[in-house]
Amino acid sequence: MKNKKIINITIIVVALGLIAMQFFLADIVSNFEGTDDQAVGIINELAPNYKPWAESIWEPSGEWGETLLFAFQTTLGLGVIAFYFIKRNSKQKV
Amino acid sequence: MRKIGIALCILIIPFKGFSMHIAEGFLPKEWALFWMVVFLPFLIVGFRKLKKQLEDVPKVKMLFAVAAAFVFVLSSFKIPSVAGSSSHLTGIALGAILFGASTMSVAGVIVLLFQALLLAHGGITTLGANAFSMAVVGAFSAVWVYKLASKLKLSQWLSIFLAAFVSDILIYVATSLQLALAFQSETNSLLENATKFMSVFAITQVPLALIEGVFTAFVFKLIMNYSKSELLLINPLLK
Repeated sequence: MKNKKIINITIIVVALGLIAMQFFLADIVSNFEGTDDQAVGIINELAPNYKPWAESIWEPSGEWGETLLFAFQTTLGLGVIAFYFIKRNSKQKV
Repeated sequence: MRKIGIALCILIIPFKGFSMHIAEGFLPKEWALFWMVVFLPFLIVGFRKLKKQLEDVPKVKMLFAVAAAFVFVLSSFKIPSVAGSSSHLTGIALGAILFGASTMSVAGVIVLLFQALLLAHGGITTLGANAFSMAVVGAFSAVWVYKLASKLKLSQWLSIFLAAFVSDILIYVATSLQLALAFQSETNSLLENATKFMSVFAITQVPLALIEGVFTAFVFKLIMNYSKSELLLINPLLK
């Protein structure tokens, strides 16, 4: 019983922690370039005349827009995982 | 195990600037089409297999949602690597081992579509290539490594860890090969180009793949604690 309570609390704390980090820490450390940006650099080097033939239909506006949407993705996923564990815990209690 | 998982969650800091998938428009049309055609049969087979599993054992619907959500969460976190760049985890091995490799084509395509449409990450034109590397190469390699490790009588924790680690690395090797094939030059050989792309993707990914291995083993263990009986109905290999 005590263990299950700890698991529930752990899941909630980790979930909230991850979401909070998505919001607040992304601005603090941002000097690591993404590997896809680096790959685009290599493409430009190998095929300097290549022009991308399609662009994203829509791009999130501003850095916060992007962060918010990534946080939304995280929240959706964590919500499902937390729902499963909490439901399982309560079932086992019955 | 739980403590390690929590510690890793705390250590992970999301970063801006982007990560792994081939960006929109960055594959020539013929290659974009080629990978879509190659991926489609896996998606159809995966969809059918998943439909049958969910009909046979309706109780596992929630578990599949958890496996897909795991991909959702892990692919939303960009993590810095000692290589000086950032990338993200994939989470594909968990669902592949629980439900079978082909079913991850369904989860993979949902996540990639979400990211392409809402986050401008990856792309619709590169969906086939990205889905093939993540949901086919990543999922099948995870299952094969898991089976091999189980045959070698390694512990379940280690088998899951190895499967997730290898799967994560091979996804990026596959992406590198896809780009090298698409951008062959007269001056460099295919291998040289592939090595160039791998020097970006694969090296960045090694430390992240270690994290992915531990994460996957941790969540797998938790799921097995709660839902072992249902999972054994769809996958008896999980004993």
